[in-house]
Amino acid sequence: MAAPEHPACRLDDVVHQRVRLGILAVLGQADQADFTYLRRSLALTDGNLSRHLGVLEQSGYVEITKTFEGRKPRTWVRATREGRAALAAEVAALRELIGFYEEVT
Amino acid sequence: MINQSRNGEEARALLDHVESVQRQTRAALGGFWFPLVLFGALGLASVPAYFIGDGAVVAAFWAVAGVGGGVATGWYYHGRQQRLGVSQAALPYVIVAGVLFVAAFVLPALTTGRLQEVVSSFAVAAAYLVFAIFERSRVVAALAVVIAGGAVLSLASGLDHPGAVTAAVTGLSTLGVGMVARRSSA
Repeated sequence: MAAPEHPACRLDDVVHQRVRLGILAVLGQADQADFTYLRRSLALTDGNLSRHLGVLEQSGYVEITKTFEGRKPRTWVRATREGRAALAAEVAALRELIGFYEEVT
Repeated sequence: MINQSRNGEEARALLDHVESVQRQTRAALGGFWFPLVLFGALGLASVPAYFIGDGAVVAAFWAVAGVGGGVATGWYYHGRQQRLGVSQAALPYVIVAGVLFVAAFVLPALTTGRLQEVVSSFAVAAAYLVFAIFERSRVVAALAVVIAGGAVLSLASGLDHPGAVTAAVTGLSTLGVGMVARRSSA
């Protein structure tokens, strides 16, 4: 009989990172958020946020849309269905992991 | 053991971070005071219409006020989204508001007597209950109960113009909750 899978095996490497989890947590509540809102609410630098958004976009977890308001560019970010599912799965895996370690210790 | 406890603490810290960011985002999105204040004021303004003629005056009032209020609410949320840089999906709210608008006109046509004057308030209460679920707001859920309770009491009381009493209760309570919500979101 195979040993039960450790809950840590269900963690998603892309999402299991504080900043990326924070980005998905914002976008899980909102329809969309702009770059400035994400940067401010997660206390990040432009470069840091861009790098993590790139990772999430490459994984298909967010969609990035660039618009112009007058002459001012604005970047909007929206979680995809896969991104929302990944956030829900990560939260469930974290809860399971906490329960697992509470049982062990 | 130390490693296990650290892993558990790390997972707890990440989960706390997610919950904190979610709370912060919900607070930023919580601009529902505006439609509450607006429709509360419109509810109060509708009271005299119940004393004039038949239900046609009330229907005409809400045909204009409902559409105008809906447009003003859309305009408010659009401006807020542009200013804050974060928005919530509008479609579920638009659908519920649309169903409420239709129900508020259809239900009185299907009923008679005193019930005809207050039946729309039950539709308003049901819509507020759905909005309370969307907003995860106990205050808005309580408001729905107050509106439905006010409608039942005004029906049971035997007072003339139960629709006017219900509109006054709905308007006052909605306006009050909206003003409190505005203060707490400022």
